[in-house]
Amino acid sequence: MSEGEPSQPTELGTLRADLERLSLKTAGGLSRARAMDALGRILPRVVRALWLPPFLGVGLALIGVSLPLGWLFLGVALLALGLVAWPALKEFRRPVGREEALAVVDQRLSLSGRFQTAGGYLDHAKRTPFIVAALEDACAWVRGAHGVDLVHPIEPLVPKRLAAHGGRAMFLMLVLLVLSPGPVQTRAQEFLQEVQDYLGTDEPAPLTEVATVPRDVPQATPLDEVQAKETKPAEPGSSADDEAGEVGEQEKESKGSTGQGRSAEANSASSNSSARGAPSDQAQPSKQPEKRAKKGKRQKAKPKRKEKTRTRKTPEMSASTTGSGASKGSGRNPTASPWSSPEQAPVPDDSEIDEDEEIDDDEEEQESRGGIQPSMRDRRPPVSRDLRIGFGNRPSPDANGRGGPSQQKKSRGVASLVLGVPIPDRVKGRPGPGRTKVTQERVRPEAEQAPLQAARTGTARAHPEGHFPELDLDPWLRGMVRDYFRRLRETSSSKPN
Amino acid sequence: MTTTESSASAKAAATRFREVHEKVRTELHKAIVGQDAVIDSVLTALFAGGHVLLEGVPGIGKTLLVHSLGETLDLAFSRIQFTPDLMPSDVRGAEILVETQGGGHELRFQPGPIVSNLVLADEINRATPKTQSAMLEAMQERQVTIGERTIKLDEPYCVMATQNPVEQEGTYPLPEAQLDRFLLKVVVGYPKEEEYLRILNLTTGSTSEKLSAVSNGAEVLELRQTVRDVPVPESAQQHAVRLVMATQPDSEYAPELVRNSVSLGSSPRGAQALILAAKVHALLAGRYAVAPEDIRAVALPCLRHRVLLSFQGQADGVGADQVVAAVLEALPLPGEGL
Repeated sequence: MSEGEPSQPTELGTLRADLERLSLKTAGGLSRARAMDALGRILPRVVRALWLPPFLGVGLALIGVSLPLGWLFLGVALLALGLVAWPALKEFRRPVGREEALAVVDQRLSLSGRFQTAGGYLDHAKRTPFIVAALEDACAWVRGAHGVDLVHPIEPLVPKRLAAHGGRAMFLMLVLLVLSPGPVQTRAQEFLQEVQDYLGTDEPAPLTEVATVPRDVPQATPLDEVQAKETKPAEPGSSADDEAGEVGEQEKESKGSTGQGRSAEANSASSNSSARGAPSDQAQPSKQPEKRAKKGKRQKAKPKRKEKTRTRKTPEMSASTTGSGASKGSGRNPTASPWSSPEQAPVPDDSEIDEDEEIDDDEEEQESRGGIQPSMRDRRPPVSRDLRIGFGNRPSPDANGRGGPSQQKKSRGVASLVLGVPIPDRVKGRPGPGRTKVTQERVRPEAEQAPLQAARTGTARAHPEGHFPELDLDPWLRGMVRDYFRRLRETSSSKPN
Repeated sequence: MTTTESSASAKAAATRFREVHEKVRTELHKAIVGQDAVIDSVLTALFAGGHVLLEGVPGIGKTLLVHSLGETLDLAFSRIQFTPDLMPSDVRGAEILVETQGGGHELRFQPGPIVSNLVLADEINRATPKTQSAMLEAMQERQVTIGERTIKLDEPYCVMATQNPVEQEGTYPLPEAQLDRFLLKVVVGYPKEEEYLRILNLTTGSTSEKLSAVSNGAEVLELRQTVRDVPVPESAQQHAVRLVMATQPDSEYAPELVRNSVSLGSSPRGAQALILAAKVHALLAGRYAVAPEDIRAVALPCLRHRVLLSFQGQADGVGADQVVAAVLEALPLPGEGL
């Protein structure tokens, strides 16, 4: 079929205006219907939620918390209003296109998309005979559609039951509002009142407390106090009186700005920063408090063990030769410290240090990294290079054939050249006991003396036994056995393969 | 030609289409009792220029329907009984050695049963895939190639294949490529109780109803052109596209059932089939343009054979019809529910 001319007959000319009017009318109704639909969806939820504030108020009142019920109910009411109004408004303001509106009309009037088709083909440049026929078909229907009231089915927004719920909830809220005892001060209001009362007084602030606790100096934490306490009993040779005196002096000193609220003894024992010097502080400045806390916890956890370890200490090496100074020789510079400080205590032999102790030392060494010399505690004098000849073929047990004795070295190896990179000995524990040897002995079996069996005395039967009656079950027993096996078969056959 | 004249020609063509359709339908009902939906679907495929796959148990008149259609439309009709030993040359034809008048011999092309107007491929799933694939070229390109010879098939050309949903042992299910070439898949069900009496009276008496040709191939071609002229507005096209996309598990329109139970959805051929069949439906409904309602009316026969169920879907007992129904439910009509 050939394409039709794009002429505009009068009948088709009115179709555009008719469809436009119809779509506008439908769009308005559709917007209202959508808004009502949104209201119908959200309202039941809001009505149910109205029960929450009264129950909340009652519940909080029961546990002793008083709330401003008026404000609470007002807030809830505003929130509910917003929850209801916003979706409805959003749906109402959503634009409805012409095609969409015409599709709704088609659907309402069961026109099988006639108006939608006509609306789509109105501005079509090439009108085929079938398109023109479709437009004319729509013209016939559009006249009838104007007379029809396109009423959109709007369901009742809130069912009766929900409305009753909402009414009861509102009533309960009102009752609570009436019964609530006047304005209730909140905690914030009480606090503000206290502050105002406080500021309203003309008395000057107590200056003594401010002077004792300087603002820029942080107060000693309980952890530091614990550390300080732990260091006190470890001081050898100091009596209780001395300790009391020292503590008194330290307390005096600690009130200065540089003491940071801590005693000098506590600083030397618990904090390595003063003994290590600047590099360690610069290397890990931010981790020091954490380390102190960790160390404090550890010391708190094992005070008894430390005391035990300290009692076992034997003087083996001097602090100056082994490098064990203020930092127990664990990679710290030897510094001058009071003779009564724990740093002057001799370092125990490694063989006597148990594994836990080594772990602690290692951790301390890890902490002491950063510009400090490596561990000096493990530096022992070199082995004797004695070349003495042994007796006969047996060499001297002390000789190692490496030349004569040499002077002691303070440190050796690459580790001594690299500052701040200690290489601690990671080999822990003790050598194993070796393989367990099991020796088997060959023992010839020996006969045991035992009494003879009584069966040997038995003899063969001399005469026939006679009639042996057939074993027959009682009827009840037979029935029971049959039932049992029948049940067994039934269960086995009912199981899926 | 004025607009009024052109619209009159369109209205006349649409009216003629409905009349011929009704005549053929009435004539077919002389031989076929009931099965209105099946007859409508077969005629839809014929006028839309597609092929039909009829699925049903034996003895419900599938072969009789196709045979009767050939008689009614006065079209060349051929029947191929597909068996496992059927070869492609048995379907397409072959060059055979014939004796000439002078006593000599020559190779002459002997066309197979596929060269016809209406081809009934009976129990098509019993042949091997090799033989089934011999139908592909004929169904899509409407031509047959044997060696160097290509034969154009006469229009109207329509393949109506039947398959049995039971007795699946020893069958070769049609590959997706061949299934996709069928415009519609029609499920033929059992007749109703009142139809049984008429069937018995019609088939067990001494006289049989003689069918007459109420149309011909040329008229069928004209009606096919009328179908092609029916316009499809954008709203209907969009609805068809969304329906097809909704059968694809990865699509945004796919419902939950499709996502869980379908491994392969419809191809664009499905959308083409929807539009063509919807055009016939619109004409039969007395409209001059396709509406989304027409698309939905033909969605089931157009899409059910283009949906490949996944293992999970098969294990759950989900059928292709359920999937199409879920798709239709997930995509409402434009303007519906507002």
